[in-house]
Amino acid sequence: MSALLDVRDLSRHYGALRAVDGVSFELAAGDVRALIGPNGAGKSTLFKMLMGETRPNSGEVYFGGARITGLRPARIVRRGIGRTFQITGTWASMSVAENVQTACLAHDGRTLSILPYARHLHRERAEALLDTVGLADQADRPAAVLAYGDLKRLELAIALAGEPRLLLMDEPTAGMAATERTDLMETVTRIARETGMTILFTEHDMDVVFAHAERVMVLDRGALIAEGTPEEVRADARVREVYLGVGLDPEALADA
Amino acid sequence: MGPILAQILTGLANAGALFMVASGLSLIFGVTRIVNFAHGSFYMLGAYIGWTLMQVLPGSFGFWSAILLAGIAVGAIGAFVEIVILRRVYAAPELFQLVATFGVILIVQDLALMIWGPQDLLGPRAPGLRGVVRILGEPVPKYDLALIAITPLVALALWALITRTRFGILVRAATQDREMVGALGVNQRWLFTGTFALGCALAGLGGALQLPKGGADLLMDFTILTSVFVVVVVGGMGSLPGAYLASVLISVVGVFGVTFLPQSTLALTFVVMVAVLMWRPFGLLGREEVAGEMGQVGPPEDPIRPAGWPVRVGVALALVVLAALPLYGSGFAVILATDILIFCLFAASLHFLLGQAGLVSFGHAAFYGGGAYAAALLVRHAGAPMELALLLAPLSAGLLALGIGFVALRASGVYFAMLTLAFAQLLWSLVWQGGAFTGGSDGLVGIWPARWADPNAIFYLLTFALCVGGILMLRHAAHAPFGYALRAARDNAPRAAASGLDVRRLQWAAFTFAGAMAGLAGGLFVFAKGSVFPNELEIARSFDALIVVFLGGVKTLSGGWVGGAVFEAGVDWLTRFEYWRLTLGLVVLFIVTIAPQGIVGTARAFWARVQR
Repeated sequence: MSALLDVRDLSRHYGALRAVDGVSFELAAGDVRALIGPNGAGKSTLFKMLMGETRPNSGEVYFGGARITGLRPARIVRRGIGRTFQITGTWASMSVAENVQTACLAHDGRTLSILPYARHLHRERAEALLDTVGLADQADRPAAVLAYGDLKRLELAIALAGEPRLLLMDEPTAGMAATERTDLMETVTRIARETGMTILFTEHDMDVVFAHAERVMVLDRGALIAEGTPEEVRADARVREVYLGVGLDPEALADA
Repeated sequence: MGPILAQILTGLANAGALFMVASGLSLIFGVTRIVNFAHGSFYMLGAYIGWTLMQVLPGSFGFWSAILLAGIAVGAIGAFVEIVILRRVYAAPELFQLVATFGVILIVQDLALMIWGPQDLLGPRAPGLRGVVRILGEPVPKYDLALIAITPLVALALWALITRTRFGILVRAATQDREMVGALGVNQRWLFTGTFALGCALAGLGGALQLPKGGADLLMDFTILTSVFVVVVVGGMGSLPGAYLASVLISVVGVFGVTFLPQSTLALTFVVMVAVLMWRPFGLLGREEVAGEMGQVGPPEDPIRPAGWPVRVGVALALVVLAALPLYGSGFAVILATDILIFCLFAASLHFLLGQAGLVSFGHAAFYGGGAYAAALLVRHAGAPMELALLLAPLSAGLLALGIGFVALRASGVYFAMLTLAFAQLLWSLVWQGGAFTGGSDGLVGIWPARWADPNAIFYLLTFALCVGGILMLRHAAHAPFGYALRAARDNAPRAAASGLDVRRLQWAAFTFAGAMAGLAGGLFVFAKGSVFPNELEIARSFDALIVVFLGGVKTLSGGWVGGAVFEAGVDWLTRFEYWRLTLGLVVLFIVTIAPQGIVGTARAFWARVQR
């Protein structure tokens, strides 16, 4: 079976800075993979290139067998890639349910219609999605008043409304309490199992990474330096060097 | 070779004043993030003050000190304006700051009229520089050569100030990160005042320096503003070398235009601008400008809801009463109500663009006047009946918006605002120079409604149906998927794009939709008045609409038409006074500083307090 996502030699330079430098990897349908690396490693730049928000200097991205390099974000989303942002993105002037309804409308491609009342459209689907992420009881509150952890879950519901085949999540649990983190990641991985959705996420919390990712990729200074199962990555000397400096206790990474 | 060199020299000389005004605008924007729309007014003040000083101070020494003193005086006036008005609105969203600077424009216009009178003032010749020099056989005025020498000197002095002094270091630091400069303990208030004063002094200097070439008149504030916006857009906001480069480029193109294409000088400038913009959206030497928060103040608005049944019944009853106006109102009341309805639709269309899409357009009159001229031209040249003209007016305005939007939406934030204004001014100049086809400054007259709609009462009902229908349609669009998608793009554009919304296409559609609605209002206006003049396309008309939206309240659904009604009725009353602009300007400044939520917002806040 061919890969769902095929990234070939992708690079992005800002002057002399090689933010992403010749990165290649593949994702198969249903994979749940983490992308880790220190701050400034190029994780967010890589995501931006996959979504078409930033143009690569060189390299190709294939999704579902078709080349998507250089397409505009809206086009790439139509092909079936969704994402959540490191700085949570929701629409503050709408209610929680309306946020999800709007995402459903966007998925429909009905956004130029000026005839129906939008608040009656996709209400049930929005409620079902909110139920999935555990926000059903807050459906009619203004999104602007939600707590940060709830905003993260709302954004997940917004992203899921697009029925992505591949979901990119940029630090999905940053700023959440420990129990919330586990809840959110379990929800996401359950959906991935049930629907065959593929997930690529970045994360600084190693507990989350090792508990939920099937495989882990490590990015450092723009280049992939390791890829493998959590155990393999944990044991990799270079990864330990990047994260902890040389000569530290190998067990430390497991506890990081 | 000679003629071409002479042209280039004239262009370089003309670039002087343009550069000084543009660099001042750029400097102020860099530090305070305010696009000073009143910058043209400071330029005008510099010219008038310089003129007065030259009458008093004798000889060569007097001439040059008059120019210098004019710059200093305008700088002082700028400092006063900054301390009294702008300090209160730095924290407010861009729209409020812009409206505050419009207020200053209005006040300066009337003050200049009061002090110096309505007649154009001829600038005195520079002592010792009266004649011409022959270069390659072509006469070049000596004063032009002086200007060509002075401008780079001013630019160098500015460059030294920015790169070599502590003040300059602070200015550059604040341009990069205002908050950080504040956090390091720099007194931002005086930094802002100093920068604003410096920028205004530059504008004043430019105004005084061009006196021997252009004199002083009451239109020079808007004339220079359009050119300066083009320069800033072409050169890149915040870049001094960019401002110089673009001033020279635009001036030289302008001079060649006068020679080879005298009818379309401004159009030629715009072709250059559009070309640069297509190639570099942030100007030749500019950097990407993060679009600011547009039209929002305070916490995000509550989710909107369609009105409940009691409100709907109430509105329906009020509309019935309004529709029956011809039965009980005087003839004058019917005509005034017609005007108000038309203006309400115009304002509501801009309010939709601003409120729903978050796009601050400074050239909305292009579509209002565009629709008006489309209707009038169809009647005049194609013999179209009123019904067809009223159908084609919004279509033409929509097409116009489609074209202007295509270019203007390549930019965002302040660049977008400046581009819309520049395009409206282009349209105005095309109509103004349109000769027999558009009637030029004489306008097109004798465009009356079809016979059946000719009685005032019938035309009122027609206007009522179309305007109320248009306003309700705009309002309904806010509740429809289109409105939600627009607000999604406005609230968080990256999130909208990541959900598959094509942000630019949505904004383009909103721009076109609002333009078409403004065009409908313009079409009705022509038949209500029986005529149309270029002033329907003026900057002032765009400002009217902006002030109205702001007056009504941006973050409310009703702000557009409520503000429109109050404004049109108020202006009808105000314009009976000689210095009504002064009054309007003061009212605007009062609202900006005291009641920034507008009429509807303030009323709502008051109501909430009463209920508690």
